[in-house]
Amino acid sequence: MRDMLDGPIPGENFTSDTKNYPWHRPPELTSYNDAIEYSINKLTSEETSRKILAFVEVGMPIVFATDLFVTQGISKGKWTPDFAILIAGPVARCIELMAKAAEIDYEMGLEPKQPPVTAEYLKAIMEESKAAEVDEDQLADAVEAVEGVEDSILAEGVPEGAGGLMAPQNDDMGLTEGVASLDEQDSMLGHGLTDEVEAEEEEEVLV
Amino acid sequence: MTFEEAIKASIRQYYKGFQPEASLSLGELSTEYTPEYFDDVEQDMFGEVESDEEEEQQEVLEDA
Repeated sequence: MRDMLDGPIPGENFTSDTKNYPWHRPPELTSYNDAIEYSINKLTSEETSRKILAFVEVGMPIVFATDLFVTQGISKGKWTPDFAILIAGPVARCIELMAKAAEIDYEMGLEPKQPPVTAEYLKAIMEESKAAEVDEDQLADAVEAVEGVEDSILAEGVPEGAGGLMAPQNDDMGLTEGVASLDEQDSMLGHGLTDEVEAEEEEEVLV
Repeated sequence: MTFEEAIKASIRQYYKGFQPEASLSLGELSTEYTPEYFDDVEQDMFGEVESDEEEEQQEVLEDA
């Protein structure tokens, strides 16, 4: 109930300050050259270059590293999302040069995800499927073998003591001796005890 | 198109040599950060960088 009362009232959003976040304010950089200069300076700084090159070294494609960098610029209010797309090319080229200078085997990430379907590709798939087909003679032999095992099991019958989880237990536990007598059941349920106690109480009263 | 796809397309266009001319015409008339500029930087950093076309031409000449 308290949580419901703590919720925003209708129209409260119109009363809040819309400049709370950097991306709510006008961007700091609106010039193409200034934005690239800022990007190059930022990328070549010791802290950022170490981070970016570490990502590239562990296998992150340069496209994703660029995406990371320009998105961070948006969140800091440096540029707008549209401007981030415009400067992505020079930023990617700069990261590529940094990776080359650091002698890192990098991946651009511009390659298409799946190779286009070609005739050779389809032929290779068809050959693989042919190789995976089961020989009919081998299949018939296997079926015969399984049937033979089944027949032998049925002929032998189920051995004593074999059974499933719900099969009767061994006599060692004394669980298969039969149903308990009515007196035993009463004693197990405590009826016999109450009769004795009542009889003793009656005797005490009479005395 | 997602933002990631747009970034990828932008990078691909830049590597092909295209520039955001419409955006540049609004404020600045030109930019120094062209693909050629970065090629020059690469050349300064690593020496002579041969393009694929030049390598192919050399191979053809060697074969001949």
